[in-house]
Amino acid sequence: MMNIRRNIKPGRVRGHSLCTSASQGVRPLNERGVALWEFALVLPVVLFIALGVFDFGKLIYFSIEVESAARAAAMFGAQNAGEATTNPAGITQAAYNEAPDIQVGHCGTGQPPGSGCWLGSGAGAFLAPGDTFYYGCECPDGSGIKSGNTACTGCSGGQHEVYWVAVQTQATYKPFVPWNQLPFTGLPASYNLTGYAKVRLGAQ
Amino acid sequence: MAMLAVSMFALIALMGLAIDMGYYRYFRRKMQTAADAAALAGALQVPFGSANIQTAGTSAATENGFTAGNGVTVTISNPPVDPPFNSSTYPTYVEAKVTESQLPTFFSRIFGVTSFPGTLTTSAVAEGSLNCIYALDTSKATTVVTVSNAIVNSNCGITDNSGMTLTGGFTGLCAPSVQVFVSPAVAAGSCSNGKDVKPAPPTLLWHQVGDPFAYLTAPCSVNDAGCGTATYNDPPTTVCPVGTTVITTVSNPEPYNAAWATTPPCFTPAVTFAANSNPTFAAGATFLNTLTINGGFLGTVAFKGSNTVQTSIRGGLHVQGGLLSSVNFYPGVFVISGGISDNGFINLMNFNANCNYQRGVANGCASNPTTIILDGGGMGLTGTIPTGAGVFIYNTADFTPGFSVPYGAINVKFGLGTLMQAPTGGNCGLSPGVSCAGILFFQDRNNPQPAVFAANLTFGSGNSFLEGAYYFKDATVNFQFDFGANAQYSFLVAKDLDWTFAFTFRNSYQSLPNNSPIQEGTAVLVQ
Repeated sequence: MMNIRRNIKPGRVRGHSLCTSASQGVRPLNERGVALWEFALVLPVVLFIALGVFDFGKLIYFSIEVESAARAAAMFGAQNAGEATTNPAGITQAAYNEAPDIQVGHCGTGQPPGSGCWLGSGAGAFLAPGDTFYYGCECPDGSGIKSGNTACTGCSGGQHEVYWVAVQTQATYKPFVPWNQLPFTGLPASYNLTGYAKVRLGAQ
Repeated sequence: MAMLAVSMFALIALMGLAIDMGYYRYFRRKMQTAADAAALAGALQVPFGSANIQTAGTSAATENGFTAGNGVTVTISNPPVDPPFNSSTYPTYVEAKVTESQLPTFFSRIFGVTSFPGTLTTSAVAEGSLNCIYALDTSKATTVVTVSNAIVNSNCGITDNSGMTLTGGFTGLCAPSVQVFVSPAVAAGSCSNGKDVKPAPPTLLWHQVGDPFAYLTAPCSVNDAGCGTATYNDPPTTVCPVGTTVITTVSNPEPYNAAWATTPPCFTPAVTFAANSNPTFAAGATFLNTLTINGGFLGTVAFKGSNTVQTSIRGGLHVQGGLLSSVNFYPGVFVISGGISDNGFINLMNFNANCNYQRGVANGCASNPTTIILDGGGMGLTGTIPTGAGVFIYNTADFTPGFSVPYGAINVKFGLGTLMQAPTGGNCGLSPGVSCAGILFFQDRNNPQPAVFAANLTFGSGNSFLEGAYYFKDATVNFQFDFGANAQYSFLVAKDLDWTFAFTFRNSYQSLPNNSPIQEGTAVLVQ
């Protein structure tokens, strides 16, 4: 095979279809191996980009899970209203259940690359900023917010107070590739992800 | 090399697209959370009218990160605008739609695409106000709701501010939702046999709810403590009202005078009529003492009514003996101190003789109601069959100085063919602008006398029903018959609830102008 290819030179047998085909498929001697070189040159770039996309994709994926977890936990607290007061740990568990790919207790230096880890466990793990309870009341227009069992009164304009459950989930994602160790990237070693949902459950 | 450049360009473009699509999906998730929260918030306002549905929906979207402006729109619709709930058939449904038209891209910017083309839209639909049964007792006792050897089936939710007890082998409490403040020791089940609650375990309330009928400003007279604007007068004591024919001596029974049909009489002594004499009394008739009606056979007593000239009885209305005689009230206000009682034999009492019941219809005549003020003494019926479409009964006490009549109980054993319907409109002596639509029994919020709704054991109560709300904020209500099975809807708001007989709660509110009168909101996502 090699002999045949070596003996056939482009343009020597004009008008022959085989020749035309051969002329397109065979490189000159001085271009042999270029494809390999090109591949070798491009492969790191492609891998670099592919790994970046892979990591970014996972980051987005975990972000969606964290966001979904916040919604699920708030819904759990709202539709099983007693749980918001008597079982705050249940709200945490509801968030965990919604995002099974995110793990508990692996945060910090021991967190495996490419994994998600919940920042918080037990009762009160996902309290919204400034809240000491998962629940409270407010006026329908969002004014007069009170947390916990503080009575919510005095809504203006004949508005009736509403009760709410609010959850802010927090997790961290450690990239599969330690991008932060590459020079000049300025990227963090891990990414904090947050999800937030506030659901109203009753009015009177 | 050119091919390589083209390939790399395409590869990077595809990877960039993948990243942007990931962000798109993430953003949609956030939008959906906001839409769900907005729909629920809007639906929670449904029981209070349409005034705050928009405000509540948009503020809930804001709380979840989506405020109108900069490409974001938040639309709240009641009823929904999109199929399948886009009709007036779904007045309690609220649709929330969150759209974003300027969602930025990341990698696609390389190719000049700075924002996602088109508009991202997420929507959610929630249904408001599902509850129709409330036990308001905040004592946390486990016997605030009791069900004994009875199956209570409800199409609408139950809220109990304390605990519940189920006893007996064929007992159940079944509703779309059961909310309690104190966790009960009840088992889950099918609600067709055994001792169970469905759904089980009941949802735990984290706050005790308030009175869903708190907005109903009670009728009151000038002698009632805290009465702002009096809406009725306590029956006079010794002096007859101007415009009445004063009668100071009577026979027994008193013969009927046809002139009373046009000029109202005022009897100062106790008086007894024979139903067979078919007396008719003009609006404004006044009885300063007891009024007794001898039932006789097939007689008819008529009390004409008026919303401005009230008919008053100070010593109570008593129907005795007789068979198949009728006591008819016409739309207007009737104030009766001393209670309504009977010992007759299948006599009829039509509380709104102008109006026949029409199932599920916004009946014009039922919006012109008869208002019965039980001004002390309550109501105890054992053999009378009450009827009437458009009836409002308020059970209070008479605090006239020197002539007071204490709170009485409503204790009735309704007979075969009992059929009473709450008004479908009208005011019934409530504050101006407050409708009494859907309210059948309203007991004074300070009246602790327990109410009993039972069947007439002698004649049975087949096909009997009471359609409307039983509102006994400070009293126990005991049901010994199913007055809801043939009614279009029932509401029960009381301090304590006690069922010793099966009861059915339905929730077809087509005849009511503003749907359910309950003003305490719950909501669920339906789409």
